[in-house]
Amino acid sequence: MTGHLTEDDVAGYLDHRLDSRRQREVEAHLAGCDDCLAQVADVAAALAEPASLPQGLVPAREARWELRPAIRWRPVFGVAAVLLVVLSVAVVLRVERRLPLAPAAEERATDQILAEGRELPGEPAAPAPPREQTKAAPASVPARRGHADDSSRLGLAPEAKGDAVAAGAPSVSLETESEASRPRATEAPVAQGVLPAPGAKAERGVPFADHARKAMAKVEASGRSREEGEPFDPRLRLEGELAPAELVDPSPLRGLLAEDWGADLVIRFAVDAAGRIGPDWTCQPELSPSRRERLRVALARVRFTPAGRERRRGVLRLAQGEPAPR
Amino acid sequence: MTASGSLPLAVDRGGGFLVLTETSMIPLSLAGIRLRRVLAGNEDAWQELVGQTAGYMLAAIHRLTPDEDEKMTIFTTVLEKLRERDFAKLRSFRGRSSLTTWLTVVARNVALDWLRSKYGRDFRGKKVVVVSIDQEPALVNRLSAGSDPAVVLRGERRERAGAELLGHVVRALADLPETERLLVRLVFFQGLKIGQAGEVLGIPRVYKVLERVLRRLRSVLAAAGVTAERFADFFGETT
Repeated sequence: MTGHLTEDDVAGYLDHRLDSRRQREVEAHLAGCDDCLAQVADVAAALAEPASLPQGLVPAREARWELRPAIRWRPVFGVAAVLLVVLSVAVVLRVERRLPLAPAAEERATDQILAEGRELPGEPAAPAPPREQTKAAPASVPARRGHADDSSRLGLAPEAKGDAVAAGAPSVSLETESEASRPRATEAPVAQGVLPAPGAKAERGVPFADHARKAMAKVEASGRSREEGEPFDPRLRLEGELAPAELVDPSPLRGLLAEDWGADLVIRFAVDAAGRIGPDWTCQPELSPSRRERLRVALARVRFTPAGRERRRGVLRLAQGEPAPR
Repeated sequence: MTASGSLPLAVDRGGGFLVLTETSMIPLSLAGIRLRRVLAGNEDAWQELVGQTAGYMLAAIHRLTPDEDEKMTIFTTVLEKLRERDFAKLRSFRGRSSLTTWLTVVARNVALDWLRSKYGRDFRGKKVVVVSIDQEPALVNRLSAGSDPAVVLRGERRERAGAELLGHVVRALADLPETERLLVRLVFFQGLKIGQAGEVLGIPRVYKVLERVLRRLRSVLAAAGVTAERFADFFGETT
């Protein structure tokens, strides 16, 4: 590294957003550069203890609020809010009576079925798993309790909960020992780094409904950052309760991967019957690890509904290199 | 992905906002929309951004100059730099960190440039401080005592001893692992609090680590004949 650190480098280093290689470079530079070390120290101290604002400097919105005329609006809007809530509840109740199970209720029902070890309706019968696997299933599929439980339900690795884990390491966190030691039919593409085509015939042998085995469908892709030709080594991995035959084609995501886009994003998207990612993306930051964790992992939950199938979910994990050792 | 004229992909962990270029399919969070509004020239959004980040920027400037007037002048310069040429600087934010952290780094750099342009590169040493003799008689006494040969000699010996001690410490530091060396330098050379240094370096239980490092440094220095007693005459009680 020549010259001094850039603003992006210093800010990224302080936020623990750099990939491990870049972080080592920055630390090596800091070890020999007093100017940059002073910069890091100054900014870290400022972030830890911000100064109080001078009296004349207040956020504009607060200042504008003070200038508003003192009208008696509260009772009016209070009544309107109550009416709106009552109306909304009435509409929701009416819609629920007309429609079949709502997606959330459907998921709960699916979870209940999974927890009891039964098969999902409308799916091909799966061969009976070994007894030890059947016993392991309920433990690995806890009851759904809102968002927090989604991580364990979907097979999120501990990093999803803020624990530091080597990014890209195979996730066996929710598997029993017998599951972890059992060879999986879909591990070959991961080990070889090959991207299997959607609908690969060879992998249809894994029953789609066999959640107890938690057949992990994994796809890895690699790429390079466009940023200064810097090696990026992103890994795109799909895992979770995905049918190998219905692997999501990650090619639309490669553009995102090639962009150095930071971490801690959740992407939700639908996948059509052909395994293509649909246009209805939603993104949101989620599960921000604490600043100490130094994770370089972005997580995404995959929801897709292939034609004629029950809803399936999975986890899309975008790992940018490995987290720095703590 | 970054088409010309569009925003780079930006994720703010601290503020929890997200800005993406291909927004046709991706709904923006409120904070992301706010940043877009800033770049679109919305004055209210700009004021809000300044209000939310000013404390951090001012703290960074304060580390370089405690002078209140100077601090506010520099702060104004920072805001002008961010706004000039249609927010060109702000548009260069790449989303590799939180926006707050990035702005704090920018503010610190602008402050450094400003101070160096006014006082020279080593501005801390050259900065002129105007002191009223009436209000600071003790300072006058200290200045006049500087001409006393005994005081001057003591000062020179103290300076030499300090340089020698620093040389020993630097050599001892060189044997430490890089992270531990940075920890010592951040805490004892840059004045960062121990907890903050641990946060920067990602060291859990930083106090224990630092205690271990200091113990190791002491043993290395003692082996080289550098003891507290040897330098006690120059620096008083040392630990």
